[in-house]
Amino acid sequence: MKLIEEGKISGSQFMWLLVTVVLPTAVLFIPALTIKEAGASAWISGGVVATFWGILVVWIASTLGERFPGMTLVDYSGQIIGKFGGKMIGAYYIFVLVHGIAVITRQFGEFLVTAFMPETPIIVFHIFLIALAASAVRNGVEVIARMNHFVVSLMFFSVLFIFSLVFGEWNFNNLLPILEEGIGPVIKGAFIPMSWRGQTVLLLIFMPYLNNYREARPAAYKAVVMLGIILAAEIIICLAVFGQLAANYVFPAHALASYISVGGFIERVEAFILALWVAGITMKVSIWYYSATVLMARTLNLQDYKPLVLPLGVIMLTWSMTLFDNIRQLVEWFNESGPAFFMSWEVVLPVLLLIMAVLRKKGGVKSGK
Amino acid sequence: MKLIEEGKISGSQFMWLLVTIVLPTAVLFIPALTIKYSGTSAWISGGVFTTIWAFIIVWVASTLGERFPGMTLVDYSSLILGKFPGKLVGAFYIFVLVLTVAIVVREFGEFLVSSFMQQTPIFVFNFLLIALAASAVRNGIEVIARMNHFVVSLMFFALIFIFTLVFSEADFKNLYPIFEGGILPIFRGFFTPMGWAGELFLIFILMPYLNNYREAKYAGYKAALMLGVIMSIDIVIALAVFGQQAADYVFPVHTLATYISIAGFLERVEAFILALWVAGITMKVSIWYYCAVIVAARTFNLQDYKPVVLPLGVICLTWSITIFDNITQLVEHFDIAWIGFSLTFEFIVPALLLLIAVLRKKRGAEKGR
Amino acid sequence: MVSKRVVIIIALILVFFLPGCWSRTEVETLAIVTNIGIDTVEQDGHVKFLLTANIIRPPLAGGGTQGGGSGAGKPVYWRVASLGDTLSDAERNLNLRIPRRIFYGHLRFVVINEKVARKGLADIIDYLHRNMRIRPRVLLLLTPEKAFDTLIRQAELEPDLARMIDEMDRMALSRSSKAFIDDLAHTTGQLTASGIDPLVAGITPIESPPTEPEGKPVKVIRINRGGAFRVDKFVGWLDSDEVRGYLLGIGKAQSGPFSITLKPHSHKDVNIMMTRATGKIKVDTDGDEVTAVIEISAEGDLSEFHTTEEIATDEGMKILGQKFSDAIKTEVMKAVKKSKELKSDIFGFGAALHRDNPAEWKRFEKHWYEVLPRIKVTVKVTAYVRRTGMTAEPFKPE
Repeated sequence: MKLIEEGKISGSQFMWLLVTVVLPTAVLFIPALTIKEAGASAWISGGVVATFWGILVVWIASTLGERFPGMTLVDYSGQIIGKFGGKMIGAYYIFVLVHGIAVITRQFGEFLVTAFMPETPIIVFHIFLIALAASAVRNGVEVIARMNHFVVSLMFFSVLFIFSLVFGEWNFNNLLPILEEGIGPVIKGAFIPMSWRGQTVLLLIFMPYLNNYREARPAAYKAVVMLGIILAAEIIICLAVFGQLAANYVFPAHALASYISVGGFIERVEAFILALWVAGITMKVSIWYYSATVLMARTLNLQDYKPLVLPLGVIMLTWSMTLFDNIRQLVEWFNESGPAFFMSWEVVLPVLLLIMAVLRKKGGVKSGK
Repeated sequence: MKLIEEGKISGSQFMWLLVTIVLPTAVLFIPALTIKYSGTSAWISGGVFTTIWAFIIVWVASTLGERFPGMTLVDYSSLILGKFPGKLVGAFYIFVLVLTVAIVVREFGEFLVSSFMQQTPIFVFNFLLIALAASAVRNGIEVIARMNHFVVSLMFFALIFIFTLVFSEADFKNLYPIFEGGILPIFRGFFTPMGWAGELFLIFILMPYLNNYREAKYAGYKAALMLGVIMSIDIVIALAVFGQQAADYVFPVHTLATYISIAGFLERVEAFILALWVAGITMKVSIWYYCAVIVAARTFNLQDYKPVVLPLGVICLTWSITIFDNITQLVEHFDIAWIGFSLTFEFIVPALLLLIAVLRKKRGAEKGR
Repeated sequence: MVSKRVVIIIALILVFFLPGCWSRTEVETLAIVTNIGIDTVEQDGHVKFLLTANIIRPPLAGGGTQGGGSGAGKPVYWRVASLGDTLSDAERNLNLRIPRRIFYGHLRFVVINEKVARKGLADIIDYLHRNMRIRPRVLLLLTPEKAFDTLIRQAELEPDLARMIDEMDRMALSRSSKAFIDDLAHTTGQLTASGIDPLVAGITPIESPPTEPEGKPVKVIRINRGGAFRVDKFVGWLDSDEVRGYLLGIGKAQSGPFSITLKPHSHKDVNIMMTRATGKIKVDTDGDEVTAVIEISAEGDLSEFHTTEEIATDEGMKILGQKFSDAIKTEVMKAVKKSKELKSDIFGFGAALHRDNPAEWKRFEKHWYEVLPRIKVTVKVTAYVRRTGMTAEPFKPE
């Protein structure tokens, strides 16, 4: 079974990849979206409910992946539901990933244009981001994983930095009352963080590159829990500092950062959030981009994935510009069609594949590796 | 058959010499003159028609030269027409070349006086230019050709610099409507650049100094094409930036250079056009001067051409001062008298020589080189 | 062989030329003019030009370069004027008072009195273009008072008027797109081309209340209108909204605030900050009728919202976009109306017709200024509101 690429990654690299698959965009958009629906109990939706959902997604995906060690998604889909069906699954995932990258790129551009450089045409940011990611993709999964290690530490540092420096403004009364309107709004508010957390399903694509495929499941669980903690902390702090007002901001984390003022001299640290955002998103896009490219190469039965990098990049760039008319359309997409769309490839398809595999008794053989 | 001078030049040196024969003055005067008559279609007369005409001139001159490899103009004119008429042709060309040198020198002086140093007598510029050119001529064709290589790169750099920096001011709507008054104005506007393009006839004087005379035709075509492209760009940019008003400026390219202003600090770059002009014109005058001198030496059957340099220089200098009363006369002269006159020596005489040579079946001996 | 002795003699002679150039000009012998003003004055039954110049004041002997620190330093420039039968005459007549050569190499702008402009700009433009020191990028301005008076008004934040106008042109005006200072080359181009007339930035002289504690009122200028021309004669003013309508139409508007009314109130309750805009004019004919279409596309961000209903939805943004394009349309139509009233083709409808259809233009060219008020102009705007700023929904006071 060919893997197209010969790179190998370790269990911990795998874990950090999954963190980056979700975190950079989530940390900016999730608080406002969740608080809007769930109010003071938003941390339950974003932190607890979504984490359980994430664990479920990881369980399904890694169970599926473990049945077919060393095989790619397209290959075992082909075994499970026939060659043509496998290709269809591959095509669907390619579509989903390319679309996802277009959305992420647009989020990135909208953030930079709104908060930092209002006079620069948004396409400039898109071009730089995609060009940077394309170069990472051409270098292969090992380079991405190593680079990611560095960037993740940067992200964690700035997130901790921001969270801790606003401590003087914390007012935990803002978190009360808990479950004011019952469980309904909390579940409603959980849909968006759930779809974000479910993006960890990309572990299906990276599992074959793992040194030892058995490390995938624990690494993914760890990643999901870590994400849960960070996002819960973020929502709690946003609420504690701004109260319900946080829902009005487009980027509460950025508002937090600009609110920091310690001793009158640690101020104007928005640059940290910018570092987090730019570095993190570049990694996130690289990982998604890489997934799309190798998946496509496997679906089309190519020997090498590199010729696909450029054309896919052009498609993403165009799509990122034309997908949405304005920023609210982007946000609304997450609210309305987003959950169903994410659900389809994060849960429904893997579950179906898993059930079929079990029923048709495919996989589960110990392969040599 | 004596060549008077022993210098030899390569095909590419030959090509660049031909470019310098035309470019330095053309680039300054042609846009205003063609736009005056052809309006928005000036680039067709100045670029397209002129290039076609230049091809015809190159074909006539180099075909004539190729029939008599290694022979000078005076020698083969005598072979074709008989000894005395051959001398007459020589005398005619001495007159033409000296006159042209005088005019070019005057153009140079007028430009410097009206655009840069109003209070300096024009005689100073004319004198310095002819002295410099005389020294180049005494050093022979090889030195001129090598020096020219350097100067041409300087000219190209200056032109590209100016064209790119005013590009942001260009409004290509100014190029419409094309063919407004039908084809006639385009033809009318073509007459002036025709004389300039025709200057490539010097091929048949310089050809004997070429290493391999077969390269002449090819190099001539290349030079013609290059000139066409540069002149088209020159006219298009002048039109796009200033519109029809470009015709009112005496030196549109100089005005273009003064118009450059990038981000408020890259300004006042007219010095570039000055560099182009001074260096380019010095080369142009040197080449024409050299041609005049060797034709004179051969006509009078001298062993060496150097004694002719000084007397011809004095003639050129005096003539350059007395030939026109004012700059308007200079510009008008290009409009009216020059057309018929230049057609005579650039096209009719070479074409007649070629025709008679073919009819009388004269051709030179095929020599070793 | 040239002998060594000859070389040495030549070298020694050359030494005499080393101290400097022939007919050099030292900077101390120049009067550097930063701006000029042009008025006409009647004297003994003759109309004469009054040329006013702002000249950079040379640093005084022994003085510090900064003019001695804070407060009451003298202004860095100096106003001087003189009369002449022609502008060149007036220019050289300045030398009856100033012992230095008038130097135009750093000329930044030219202020022209409104009444002079009514008689025609062509003579002045000729003078400016013919001078080798004056650059085609020199800015042109109109003033309703005497240009002589305008050139002594305060520049406030900047050291002198030249720099102030320069910065206004480069930065300030593009922030609102409500005024626009064009340069000599463009104005001349519009003057000489058929079917398009120039619009020259206009000054409003104002007296501002004191700007510092215990200060006196200060005389300053505001650039908030545009003077429309017919051929080369000034015919009337456009106010700042009309100027923006004009800039939108010709595609030169950049950024600027648009206050609009979302709910049927009496006051404006929303502001859209335009971030970029393009404009294109197409003109066509139908028999004796001329129709023009102005196509504008614009983008903006929500920058102020005074009501409390939910707006941060795709639907809301589309509604705002619609209102935004209506506002643009209104402004452009106002400018078009003014252009027709004044019979001044600032939009260049004629030039557009000339470009697209030269044959038809020939038919209308002769009586274009009669045709102009009859042109049927349609404005098509596609405007998007892209972003909502740092907040999404408005804050609800409870």
